Amino acid sequence: MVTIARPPSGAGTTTAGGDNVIDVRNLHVEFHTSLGTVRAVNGVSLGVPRGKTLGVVGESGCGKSVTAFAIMQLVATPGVITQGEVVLHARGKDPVNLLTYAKGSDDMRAVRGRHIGMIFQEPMTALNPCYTIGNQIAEAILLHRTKDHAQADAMTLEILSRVGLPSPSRLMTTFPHQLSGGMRQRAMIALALSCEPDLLLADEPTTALDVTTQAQILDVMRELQEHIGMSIMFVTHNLGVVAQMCDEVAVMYLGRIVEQASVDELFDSPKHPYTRALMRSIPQLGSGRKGRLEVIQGSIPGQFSKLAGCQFHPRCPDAMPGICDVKSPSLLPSGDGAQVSCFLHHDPSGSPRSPEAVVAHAQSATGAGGATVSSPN
Amino acid sequence: MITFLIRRLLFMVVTVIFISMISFVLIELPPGSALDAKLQQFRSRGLNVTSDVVKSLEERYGINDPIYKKYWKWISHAVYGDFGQSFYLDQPVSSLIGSRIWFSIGMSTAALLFAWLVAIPVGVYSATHRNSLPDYLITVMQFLGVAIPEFLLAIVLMFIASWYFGVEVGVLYSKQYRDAPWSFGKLLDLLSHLWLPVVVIGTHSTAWLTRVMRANLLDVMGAQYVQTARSKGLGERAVVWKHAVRNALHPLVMALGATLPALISGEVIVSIVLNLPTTGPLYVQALINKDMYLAITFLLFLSILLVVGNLLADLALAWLDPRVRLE
Repeated sequence: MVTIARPPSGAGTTTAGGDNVIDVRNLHVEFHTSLGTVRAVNGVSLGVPRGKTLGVVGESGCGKSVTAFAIMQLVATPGVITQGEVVLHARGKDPVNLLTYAKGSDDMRAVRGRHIGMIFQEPMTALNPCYTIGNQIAEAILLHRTKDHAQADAMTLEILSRVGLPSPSRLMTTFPHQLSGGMRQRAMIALALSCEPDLLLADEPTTALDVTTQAQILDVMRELQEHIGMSIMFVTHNLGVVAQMCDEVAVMYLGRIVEQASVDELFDSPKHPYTRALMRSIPQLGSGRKGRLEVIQGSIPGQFSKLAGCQFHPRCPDAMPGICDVKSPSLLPSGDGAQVSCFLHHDPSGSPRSPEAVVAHAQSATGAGGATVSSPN
Repeated sequence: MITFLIRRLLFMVVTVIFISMISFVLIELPPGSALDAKLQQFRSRGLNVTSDVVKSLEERYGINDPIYKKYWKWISHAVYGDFGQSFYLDQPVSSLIGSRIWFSIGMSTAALLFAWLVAIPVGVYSATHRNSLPDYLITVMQFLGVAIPEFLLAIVLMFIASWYFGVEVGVLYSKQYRDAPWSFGKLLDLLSHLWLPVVVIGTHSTAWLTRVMRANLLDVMGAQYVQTARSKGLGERAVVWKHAVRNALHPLVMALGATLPALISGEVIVSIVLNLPTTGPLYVQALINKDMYLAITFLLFLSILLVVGNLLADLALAWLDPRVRLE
């Protein structure tokens, strides 16, 4: 159905119980504002397999970035992590729930930068304009790897040459404003990877870049991932990038994961109606310019609204009255190692529905005009 | 950088020349002259001043010369350090100012340092503890500090200092040091008297700069690079002081050019109230008496101070922020 070129990948990996670098369980993040409480992350559970890349996709405001920041315990005020576990399985260390560390504690700071690195959406503003690239990278190395300045400089030079920046020695004394956006993002990647972390949180790192630069940045990330052997949690809303980069994908909607599956499985047989709608809304080459691009009906409910039942049901073409608007589905395994949170795939008691029943229901729903989008051509 | 400096210095000279011309004209504009005041002095002593005497005096002092001639007469000597004679005080302007200007410069500098040393830490505290009780208290103090007139603050502090603490106010030295030669003891004595005027002069700027610092830092704390610094594993203190404050200082340094005139005019008022031997009271006297050369020389020195202060602010900015450095 979807024709996005992607490199062949291995067998779909399961997240449940597998060898994960990080396991997020039932994470809740709330923002208490004067207008009310926003539940930005509402019970997210996900795992990033070791050495692999997990894509986290979803529309703006669905909580994907907040999840990444919550893993670092860097949610901006007035955001508070109210519940959940973030278990880090660092190489050669016992698993530890990061949320048992206080936000500003030495233990938490020893994890930031050292075991988990982070890169951001806006390379133009992610580096401090007052300090040289060399200074900013060496700062992280001096915190975690060595106390010797000469050694830190040498390490900085090495990582700078690894991200494919020309004349790294000159970059040591270069200020961020003297670099282009793509070069800054490379410098930022060098900074995040300077301490060879177990996990890289990439918060839409290519969104602000043009397509050519985007491809180069993705190449650099893949190369370094192999070199360091780290995992990546790749937050994006670009499904094309997901197809290129990721082994696993978690689809988020309104602060919850609605589906997590291997990238092949997700693109070949998306299960959740939201995922299916997302796939249909990707523009396709050769579909003719007269054809209208499919959109997901309706819009995201207001951030303060509280919805009964499945969060997607008001926009869902397959919503089953009496079930979806009453009960809240949970993320459960559904064949082939994927997990999905939808009553089309489980009945409310939690037992899986037969694939035939699912197909039958989907067909009857489409036949009844559930999906009211005009078809191309 | 060198060419930039030379260009700036040339511009400074041109600026000062223009300021001197404009202020010369402005001081000349009101009717009457210093001679009138002098004649008044003579008459009150019972001397009979005939119109012939007036005429010869007017001629001697060039009272009725055209303004450009007067200006040229003054400026052509001023470049050699001869700023003319004070009509009213019968002393060379250079010696009148020379004995006082260092106090003014010293006091303004001290007030500036005081303002910065207080405003930066307080502003940082206020911003990092936003919406807490101390932050509210600081905010109230800031508004008070901006709102309260300097002369009132001077009087109140003077009263408190002399009534409750028995400090001698309105002087710069204790009796035993007044005519003593310079020594370490005299310096300490000077400093112990100096804090009061410095606090009074600096209060307004301190309050204002604290406000600016707080707002800037709140802005900067939301910047992405602050999150980057945190994501490296830096402690909050390093994040705030190394990464945020340096960026938040930028507008503060740019405001230096505006802070200096405020400090200087504050110094004039406070010195009059506290009766300090700085340039302030002398300057006001000179304006009242139309003591032409004294007044214009003050203005010249003030404008030189301002342009030099602005140059220093620009250099500080270049040191602080690599983006404004010239290649």
